[in-house]
Amino acid sequence: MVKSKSDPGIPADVIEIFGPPAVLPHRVEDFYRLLKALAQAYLPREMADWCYLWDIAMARTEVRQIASAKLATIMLHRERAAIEIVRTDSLRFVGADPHALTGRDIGLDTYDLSGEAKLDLPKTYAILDSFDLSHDAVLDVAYILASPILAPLEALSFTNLGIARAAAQDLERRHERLDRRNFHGGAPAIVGPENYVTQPRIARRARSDAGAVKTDDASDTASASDGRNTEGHITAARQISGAE
Amino acid sequence: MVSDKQLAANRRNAKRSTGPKTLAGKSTASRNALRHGLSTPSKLNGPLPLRYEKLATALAAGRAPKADMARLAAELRFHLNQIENSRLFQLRMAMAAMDTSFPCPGIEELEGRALLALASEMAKLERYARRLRSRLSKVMKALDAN
Repeated sequence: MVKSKSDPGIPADVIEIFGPPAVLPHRVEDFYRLLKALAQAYLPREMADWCYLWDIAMARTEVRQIASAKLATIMLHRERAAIEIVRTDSLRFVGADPHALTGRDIGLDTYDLSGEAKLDLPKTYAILDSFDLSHDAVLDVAYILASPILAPLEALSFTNLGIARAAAQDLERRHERLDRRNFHGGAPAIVGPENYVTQPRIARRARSDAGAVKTDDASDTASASDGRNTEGHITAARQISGAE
Repeated sequence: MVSDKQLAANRRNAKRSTGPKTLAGKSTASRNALRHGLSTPSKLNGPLPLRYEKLATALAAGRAPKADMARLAAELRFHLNQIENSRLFQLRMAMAAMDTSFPCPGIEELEGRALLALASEMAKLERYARRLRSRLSKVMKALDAN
């Protein structure tokens, strides 16, 4: 794979094949940075690996998008939250009767808890800014008020985290499979964990067929740890039996 | 209440103008109810954009007997990308339709609001994407198997 000139971490053919990521322009840079970091962590060997990495990066970018949406929702609810706090927090307005406060006092033309509030926005924001909106209590209340709306976003976020996790697991398993195959030198006789058991058995059967002496545990372990030399073991076993 | 004369005229007019006449018109009208076409089963061996053909070739490298399977994987990825693009398009449209008069929100807040407005639509698209992803996962595993 040829490394791209613009981004040395991601091969040019990967960028060409996968095309521009389906994310908003302001997230493209973050996406490639994440993809690069993933590539450094997982060390992709071929295009199939990049498919998994691309999926992980897409899912994680979407999770970040959803986090923005959640934050936006909370921020949209902070006005209502601030009004609730202003109405009930008598400590912060000593001398003022919080129940006497009307929506008009804080910039609302009409105020109805169940319906939509019609805001005189510049006035509302000016007043709310004077109440220190970064106050945790405002955001906490806003979160509670926004929670019914946040539910579908939470579900989407959860789905995307699942996609990222599944892709990462698939990639790791793929690497394990490939490592095992390379370790055994070419395609193993039986795919799966049994392979570790069957290879020494094959070697032992071959040796007994060739009339070799009965193998001990140590030679089993040796053949198990170097299954690709099964043929070599057979040859060696034949030589031993010939010599005996 | 419509008079008999008007009713007869309406029916005459309706007979004259109902439905497309030309082949091109009929072809266009046949897609009137089409929303995204993602629920139709993917056609195997259909034409793919060049970069997906390249992906198929790259996936098949060193696995010559499994070229068909590599192409299927590329095709599934193409459909998945279509869903992602459709999602992005909807998000962009929703962002463009947002009221940004006062106070002007940051791009992330705008994106968040648009996503919030589209949450149910996104969940519907996710249903199709999940099906494709599941198929793709199986194909990718089969591609590696002996």
